[in-house]
Amino acid sequence: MIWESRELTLLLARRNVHLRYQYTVAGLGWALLQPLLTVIVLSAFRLMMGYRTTDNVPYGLYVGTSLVPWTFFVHALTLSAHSVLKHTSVLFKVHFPRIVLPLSSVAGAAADLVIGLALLPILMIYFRFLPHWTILLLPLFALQVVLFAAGLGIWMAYLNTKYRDLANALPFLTQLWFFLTPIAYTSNVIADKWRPLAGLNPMLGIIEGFRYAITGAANPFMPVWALTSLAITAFLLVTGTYRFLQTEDILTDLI
Amino acid sequence: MQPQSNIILPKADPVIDVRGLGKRYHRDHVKLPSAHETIEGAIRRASGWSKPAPPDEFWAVKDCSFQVNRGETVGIMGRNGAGKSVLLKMLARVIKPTAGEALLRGRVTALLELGSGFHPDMTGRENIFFSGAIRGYGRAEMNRRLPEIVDFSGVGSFLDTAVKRYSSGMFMRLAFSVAIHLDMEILILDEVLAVGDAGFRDRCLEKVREVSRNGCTILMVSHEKGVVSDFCTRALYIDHGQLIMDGAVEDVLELYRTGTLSDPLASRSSVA
Repeated sequence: MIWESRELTLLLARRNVHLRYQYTVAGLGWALLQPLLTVIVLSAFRLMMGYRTTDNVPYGLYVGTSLVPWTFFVHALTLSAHSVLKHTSVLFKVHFPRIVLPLSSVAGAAADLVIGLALLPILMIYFRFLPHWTILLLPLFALQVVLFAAGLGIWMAYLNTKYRDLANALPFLTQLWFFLTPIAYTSNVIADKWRPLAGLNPMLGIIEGFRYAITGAANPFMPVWALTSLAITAFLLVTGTYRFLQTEDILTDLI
Repeated sequence: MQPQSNIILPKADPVIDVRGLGKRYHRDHVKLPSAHETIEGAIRRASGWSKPAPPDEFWAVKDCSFQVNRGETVGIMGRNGAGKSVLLKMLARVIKPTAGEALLRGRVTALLELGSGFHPDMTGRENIFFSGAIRGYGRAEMNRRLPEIVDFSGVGSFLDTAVKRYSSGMFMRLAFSVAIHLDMEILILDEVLAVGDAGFRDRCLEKVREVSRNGCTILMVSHEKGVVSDFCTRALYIDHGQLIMDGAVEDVLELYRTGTLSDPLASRSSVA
């Protein structure tokens, strides 16, 4: 059923992207500007704090590599959390597979991810950094972050319909999540004994994966984190889809 | 299933089969108990201070059963708030019934509102394809219908203009045109023809007649006596969520007008 509605999903995703940037000056450039500006702010912050991170990789590139998937993730999550309520009126008028709402939100955000990835070569040129061969693995980690965003996004779409608290809490929660994930700092700060547990944050494996792809160096725990992340992603996708399809019929009763 | 001898069946080929359909709502269903109310409630129940209030329920539609045969055009009448729209929404599968079931055989187009899924910032063309896609009609199929849709709507050179620039008449024509040109076997209309000027309405009605002639089964809610008596071969009367009458158009119109059954013969149908 999800496969049958791929055309609708893509059309809705395209419509969302189109509407988001239709009356903006920068257009899709926003997908580039957001991580870029964050890179600049974090770099300035690091200078002020005198925080030393990585010796062989420029900090700007290091943090940019993690900010690209992170920016996408937050964006996809926010869009899918609001996706059902945003379409309330049409939900009451037309019968269609409701799951296209969160799925198209993630697909629309994925368009931003593709643009955002263009930031990486820009940073590499700026810092005169030659990428490692592992950059060939980048699409795999990019796919993983999209799947994880979809798994959690489907859950968010359902939960936010039932408990509107979520929409209020989400910006705050993602902000906390940002600080708890080694995005602005390196994963080396995680004490050895906490490393297996830290992998329960699926974004850790993904971000370390992105870093590995670009720089060829990563925390030795990266494969474990990446696999834990993959397992959690699969779990969220299966349970989320099941739950959503189960509730699909009564979604209009929850609104 | 009880025999309904008062209905004249053209040929028994029900494409819509509604059995004991009902929808129950709680008057306060949208509100979740907030944290302090939950705690307060728990204390009250534990201490036996008060019994929990009885759930405030009502049936928007209750125990509705009827069949519609292929090719029939059936009108649904009733006062505002009688439950007509909830009934149609259940048939259109946008609301899940609390009780009973509704079986619809064939491709269904439910036109519960003109321009559902239209976005003002998108062009007429984009909205046409989106409208189709959300109802399960692919790009290829919509491409085939595009000339007819554009022709009937008369949007002409405005096809690639954002629909927010359309006059309201143009918008309605396009919205109606997209829906009516889909390849359907069952059409559900909820008073959508009540809007628009007389010329537009007549053209829409003519189109509905054409669709009906092609064998499409139609279920329509209308408050207009003229429309119902012109189009419908049968009518249903709904009041307080219940199907009061299922019979000839004249009888239902009479009931709708007076609120009572003047013809004693008509009372053979199930009057509550």
